[in-house]
This record gives sequence, C-alpha cells and structure tokens, in this order.
Amino acid sequence: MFRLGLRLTLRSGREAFVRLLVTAAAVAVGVAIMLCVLADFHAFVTTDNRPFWEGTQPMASGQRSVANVELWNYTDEVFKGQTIERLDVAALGPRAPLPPGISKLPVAGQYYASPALAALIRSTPRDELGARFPGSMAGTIGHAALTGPTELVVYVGDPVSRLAGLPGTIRVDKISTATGRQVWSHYFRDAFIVGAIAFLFPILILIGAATKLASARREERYASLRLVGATAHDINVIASAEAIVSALIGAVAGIGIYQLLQAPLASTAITSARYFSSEVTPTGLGYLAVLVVVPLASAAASLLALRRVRITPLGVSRRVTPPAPSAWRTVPLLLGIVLFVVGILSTTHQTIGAPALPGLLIIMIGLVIAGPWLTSRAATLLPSVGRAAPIVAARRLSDNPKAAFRSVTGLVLAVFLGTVVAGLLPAVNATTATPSAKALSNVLLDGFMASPTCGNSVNCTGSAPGQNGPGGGNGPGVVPGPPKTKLQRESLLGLPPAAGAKLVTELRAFRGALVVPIYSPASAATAGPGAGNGVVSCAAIDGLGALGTCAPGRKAVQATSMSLFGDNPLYTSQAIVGPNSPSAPADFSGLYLQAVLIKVHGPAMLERVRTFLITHTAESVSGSAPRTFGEAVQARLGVGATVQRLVDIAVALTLIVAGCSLAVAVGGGLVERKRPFTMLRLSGTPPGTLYRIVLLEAVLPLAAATLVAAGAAYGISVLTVQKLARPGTPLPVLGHVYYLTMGAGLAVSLLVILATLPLLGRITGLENVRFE
Amino acid sequence: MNVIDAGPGGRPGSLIEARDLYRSFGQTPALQGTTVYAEAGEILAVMGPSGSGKSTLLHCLAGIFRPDRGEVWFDGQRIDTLSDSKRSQLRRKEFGFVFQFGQLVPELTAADNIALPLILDRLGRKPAYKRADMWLERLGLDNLGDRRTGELSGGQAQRVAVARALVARPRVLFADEPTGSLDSVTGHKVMELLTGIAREEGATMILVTHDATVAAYADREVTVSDGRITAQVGGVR
Repeated sequence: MFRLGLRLTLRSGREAFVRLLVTAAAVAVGVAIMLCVLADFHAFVTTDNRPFWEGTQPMASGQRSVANVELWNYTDEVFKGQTIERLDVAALGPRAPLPPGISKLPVAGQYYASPALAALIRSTPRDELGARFPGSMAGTIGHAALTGPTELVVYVGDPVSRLAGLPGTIRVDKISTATGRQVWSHYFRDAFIVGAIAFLFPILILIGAATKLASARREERYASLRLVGATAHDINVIASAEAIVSALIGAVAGIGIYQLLQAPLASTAITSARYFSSEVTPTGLGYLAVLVVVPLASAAASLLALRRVRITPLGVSRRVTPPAPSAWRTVPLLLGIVLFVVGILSTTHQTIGAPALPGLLIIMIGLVIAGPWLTSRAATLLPSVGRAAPIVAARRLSDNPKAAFRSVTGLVLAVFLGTVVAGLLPAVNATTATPSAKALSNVLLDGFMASPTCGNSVNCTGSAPGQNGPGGGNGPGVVPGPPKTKLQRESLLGLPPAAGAKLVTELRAFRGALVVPIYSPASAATAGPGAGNGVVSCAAIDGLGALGTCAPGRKAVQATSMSLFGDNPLYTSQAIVGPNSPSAPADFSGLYLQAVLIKVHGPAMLERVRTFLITHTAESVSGSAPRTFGEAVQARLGVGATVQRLVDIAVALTLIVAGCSLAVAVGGGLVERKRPFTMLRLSGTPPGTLYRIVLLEAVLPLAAATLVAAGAAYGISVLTVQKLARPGTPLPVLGHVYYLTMGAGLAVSLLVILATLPLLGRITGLENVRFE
Repeated sequence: MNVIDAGPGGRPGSLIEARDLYRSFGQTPALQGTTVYAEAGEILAVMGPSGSGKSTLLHCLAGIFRPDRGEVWFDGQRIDTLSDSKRSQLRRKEFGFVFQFGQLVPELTAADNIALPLILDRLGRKPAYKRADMWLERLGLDNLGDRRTGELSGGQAQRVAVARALVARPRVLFADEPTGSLDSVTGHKVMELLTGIAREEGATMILVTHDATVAAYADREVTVSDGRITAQVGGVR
C-alpha cells in the first residue's frame, strides 16, 4: 500500500507533481531556516559554555612552593573600538600552568596573538598597535582560548620583576576551566527564543498550507479508492506515504540549502562576534531529527487533517462544521498582557526585563490564537457595505475564519515584533548615547589612580573597603586595610607630579591633540582616597566643551571628576565643571596626575596616542585601559544592537516565510475553489468582483490582526520604557523608518495577493470550464 | 456453478438479499421496510423516481451504508454487521461498481485505474497491469491505457469504469445510473457492453436507473417508491 502511495505521489500527473514540488519547497525553506537557527544557537551555546580562562582566580594563600605558579595579569585594551584581551604572564616555576591555545608559555620578550590580532598587528603601523606588545610574536593562539575567529587575544611574556610591579597581578597555580557565561547571555538566548517563536508559526503554516494544496481533489481520490475496496487504514498509509515523501524530499533539500548557507552564516556576526565555522552547525542529532521528525510530523499532520473529513466510498464530507471562534480565544492574549505588565512592574536593574519575557511569548501565541476571532469580528462589518464582493468575502470569512487568518499569521507576528523593536530599542539607546557622550566620542580617558580594592594582587595598594574606584576591583579575596606606606597613599592619588608633568608634555607633542589633565587636589594627599574629586584648568576643560565650562574669569576649578570613572555613559558624560564649581589654585606643579583627557582627530592618531599611553603608563597602578567615551557608549549599545539584530533577522525571516505562506495559501485556495468561482463566472459575475472577493478575504484578517498586534506591541514598548528608562524619558515614537518598513512589508503582501489574481482569471476563464 | 447459500430464512437461490431495510437521513426516511433479492447471474433493474430510495438501497446492498434496521445477506453471510475493513474487503474481492461519474481517480491513467482493485488486493504489479491491458483491449480502449481520465471522452471514461468494476471478477456488479452522463447512443453502447460482459462473466448485476430503456437490459425489474418495493416486472429466469 505504501508503494501505491508512492506511486500516487510521484506519478500522478502535473498537478500532483506541482503539489509535491511546492510542498517540498515549503518544507525545504522551513528546514533550512530551522537549521540555520539551530546552527547559530549551537555556536552560541558552545561558545557561551567554553572554559572561561579569563576568570582564573588567585591561588590560595599559604602555599610555599612556586614550582607550579605563575604571575598572571589579565586586562583588556581597545583598538579602533575592538577589545583586545591581554594576558601578561611570567612563570615562577618549571610547572607553571599553560593558558589554553598554546603549547609553551611565552618567556619575557615573546608573545602569542590570536590569528585575528596577528593579522591586525601585521597590517597596522607599529606605533598604533604592535608597540603595545614587547618583543616578538612566538606564534598564534589556538581555538581553545577563543570565542571566534575575530576575537583579539594576546598572551605576553613578561619579566617577573616587571609583572610583579603591575597593578592587578595575581599568583596562579591553575587556570580556570569553569564555564563563564557572559552577563548578556540570557538576553541573546531570550532574543533567540522570541525570534524562533516568531518564525516557527509561519514555517508550520507554510508547510501546512503547502500540504493542504488541492486537498479536496486528494480526498476525492481517496474516496474513489475506498469505493474499489481500500480500507480506512489503506487510505492512512497512502496519505502518510504522500506526506512522508514530500517532507523527506523537502528535508533533504533543506539540508542542501543549509549547506550552501553555512559558510556565509558562519562569516556573519549575528551576535556580537563571529563564531568558528566548525561550531556553526547543527548537532548530528539535529540533522537526524530533521530527517526523521519532519517527515513523521508531516505524516501525523496529514492524518490529523484526514480526521477532519469523512471519506466514504461515495465521496467526502466534513466530519463537523467548525464552530465559530468565540471570544474565549482572546484569553491567552489578555493573559499574556497581564503577565507582561506584572513582569515589567517586578523587573529590577538586576533582571532588566527578564520577568516580562514569558508574558511577551504568551502575547505572541495569544495573537495567533485570537486572530480567527478578530477575523470573524471584522467580517461582520463587511456585509453592511451591501455589494457582492463584501457579502461573499464576509460569508467565507465567517464560515472559516481560522483558514483566513492562518495565511497572514506570520505577517501579524512580524508586525508585532517589528513594532516592539522600533518602539523600545531607540528609546533605550537614546538614554545611553547622550548628546554629550556623542560629543566626547573622540576623547580618550586614562586614569592613573589605584584601585581601592584589589583582592589578592601581589602588589595591592588599595584601601577603603567596599569602594570601587577607577579600574574597578580585581575580584574576590582579601580586602586590604588602609594604606600604610607613603607609596600606597600616593598611588591612590595618581601619577607623581614629575611623571605626570612629563606625560602631559609628551602627550601635547602629538599633533592636534587637546590634552586636559585632571589633578588630585593637594588636600587629598593627607585626607586619603576619595576625599576630593579633581582640579582642572579652565582653559583646557572649556576646550572640550562637552564636560562643562567654568565661570568666566576662572583659571582653575574643582571638578567632580570621579563621575568619569563609572561604566555607564549616561553618568560618565555628565559635566564635571560648571559656573558654580569652586575655584582652585592654577598652579598644578606639585599635584598628582589623577587622569588625562585627550581629544584627537582621526583614528590613526587616536591609536598612536593610546599605544603611547599603554606603553608609557603601564606601571601606573590604575590597571584600566585608555578608552574613548564613544567606545564606552558603543560597548553598551552593542548589547542592544545585538538583540535588535537578532530580532530584525527574525522579523525578516518571518516576513519571507509569511510571504511564501500567503502566496501558497491564496494560490492554493483559488485552485481549491475553482469550481465555485467558475460557477460565479458562468452565472455572470464579473472578474473584478472575484478579484475583490479574494483581496478582501486576505486583507481583512491582515488589517484587523495587524492593528491589534501593533497596538499591543506599542503598549509594551511604552510600559517597558517607562519602567526601565530614567524618569522623564519621552514616550517612544515610531519613526519614519518603522512606517516605511512596515508599509513596505504590507505593500509586498498586497503584491503577493495581487500576483495570484491572474491565476484566478485563468482558472475561471470560460474557455477552461470543465468539471472532471 | 457454485451452490448459493441464501442464509438462514433467506430466499432459496438468492445471492444477495435485503430484508426489511430501514434507513433514514436525519428526519428524512429513505428506505421503509424494503426487501429485495438477486440471484447469481441475474441482472436486476431497480427503478423509481428521484428521491425514491433506489440509490440508498443499492448502497445498503453493497455494504457502503449500514441500514438502521433490517439485514443484508450476501452468499449466506450477513454483511451489514461486518466491520468497515471486512466490508472494504468485500468491495475489493466480490463487488464491482459503475456510477454516473466521478468514480475514477483523475490523477491515474486508464490502465492504472483498471489495475487499482488488483493492486489493492496485493496482486503483483505485472499481472495486475497484464489484466488491465486485457480489459482495455476487450473494451476497445487498447490505445488509451496511458491517458489520464481527464483526457478521455465521457463514453471512454465510462468504459474504463466498467473495466475497473469487472477486472477483479466480482460476483456482483452495482451500477448506479451508469449512462446518466452519456448521450443516448453512447449510453446504449455502454449498456450493451456492461450487460454483455456481466453475462459472459456470470456476474449478478444490480442496476439502478430511472430510464426504462436502460432497465430493459435487465432480466427483472423492481420499482421503488417512498422507500418500498411497489412493483416487480419479470420473473426468475
């Protein structure tokens, strides 16, 4: 019987062949997209779960032998907006542990670089990058240490004496192999889930629409088979064979399409960075699941569809008339909205919206469930127009609103997601990328004060338990007591006066550089860390503009410079001086250099200055890398941009699949209704009326559900912005890009529908009237 | 000839028999105590106006419908109580059908359609198509085996249906208005063919028609009116 099913599938003429092709194509598109998502998700999870060597902790105190110990100093630097992970190491004994990705620990004067950094060093003038790493490159770092091919990592071998003097250096006897998930991992994962749900529905609908093509004809054929003695079981076997064959062909084709897409996919940074291509692949189980589950699911769906009709030897009849969708269908949507509101109200700065995610997902599912009810409600408005097309369309929409809505589900979800993103992310980004942060985008900041908390650093000079100063803390461990020596006290103030003055002079020698030194006030030397902010020259700070201006006539003022050293551009780019800033002595000759701001022109000059700062102030105790305000903003925006990119991709894929789904559903519906449409033509109905019927049947559910989806999505953006953004943030405004994108999407949908109308004209042409 | 078992209480010599059948569709009664029989090799015409219940009677006799009340016997076996699968088997092995239209699978060729009952009965592909070819030749369709049914004329399609109905050598052939969609000349050609072959094969035939000229091909005719047999013309051969 299975063979008969195969025969009926493969050799039943052009119509059956076209149906097979369309079904297989739909499955192939779905499978290819699914594999791409699985592959990227696999790469994301694998990368996120890799051993996190960067999180290596200091060894326990009290160990005397240094045979298996090394000095370890992990920092990060920046080059043209890209972060370079830098590890300075020096073996103290012969069995010092080896960081991943290399076979031999670098000795002083050697370094290992990741392939991407090695290439960058080779292609960049030495004074912009290479000079930061003393000695020669001994080799490249392998995959084991990296998250992807573009990651910039360097292991630098240092003399023990130098490394022991660097801030943040710790003793290490083993390297961490624990998983170190990124802070933002769950946001990316959540975006994956939201995106996956957004296009899972349209894919299922596309496959379903394709398998239902010409189902009436197929069911009539089953009835004929029943007449000549096929049992109900035989019919199930034949139907399963048809479904399995088309799904299997589609699954194999989908895997083929995925293989073609794999290379471009691996070279695309869908999250914040590229993954290794070997990791951008579904697991073997994923492939197996596709080849087994997709055909089986297709067979199950086919059998389920057969249960809805009664196939007898005399013909086919519907088992039951589907009941009209009731208002209960809106319950999941309303429940989702309530859950979202509760979730967003209970969100904190630690969870940042995570409690609202289940509500968001249920809203999306709720839109799909409520769609048919909305369609049936909208259909009741039509007959009042009183013309033939609205009456016929309304009758059909009321009769089977589920089928009518099914073809536009994907578009509705795309509108929903697109509206959420368009409303939310620009508002969130606006709070980070403040105008002053933008104005400071080419201003480097380098601080020279010690960290008050520095854990088990071998040369810790910190004090003031519980405080975070520039450079941040260096991890858990013993918090040292107050500074005892003069050196320790001085390090909390910055570079000594002579060294500071020399540095400022050298920096001013860079062409076009505007240097703004910030000094620790003289009183701080006796008062201790954190007692004062800073002192700046009014001429210098006024030159920057974006950090405030002094009152007229002042030469130097006290500045609230501590605000510069946080990690949130919203606060770090606030003005540090103003008309009310207290005056300060304009003689800086005896003051410690707390920090320096350097405004430069051009990226090459920026990197030269940065390289100069890194190589000339490494021994300053801050341990923080010079970074522009623009780079700090970019680091924050990067997370939002990644989430936005993931959702944008989901919206784009959803639109593509939904467009295919709409075309298949409308085209299939026309073929299925060839007979009644032809009867209408025969009885004198003009073709224009038929076109309007088809248009109305597709546009009405789309319009009704789109309005609800866009409204719900905009409400979500407003709530989220009000909860998470700072007070006074204006309500999200959907910009022209949103309206253009959504308008274009809906216009394309309309074109898809219009493109099927010639088919309607052809199949109902009077010259083609023939009923088999 | 096989000895016919009419079943307990059945009319001696009858191959297929309906006893006191009742069948309604919702509130509308179609059969109201109908009793009818057909002997082996007999051609029985069932006549009556539209809506009289003659097609329902045929469907009950063929095991397509279950009667609400009454019994249907075939060769000593009560068939109205059989499972769906057993009744399907009966349709496959013992019964053949020719309807007005729509009984052919449009996606299949004429040869495929004729071979279908044999394939469903697990006969090998080669012998099935050999027999299909034989029937095509017998019905003068030998050049049309590769054509799909949509490419055939009405008369040709009906001849394919006749071949399909007879290819499995059924003992009973059910024909419901077999010439209803044909012009009178073609209709008579089909009837000559149908009854001629049925007689050659020794098959019993239940012929439902409202056309007296078609009924004239039968050995005996009964008239159904309001779900009851109201008249009988002709006798036992």
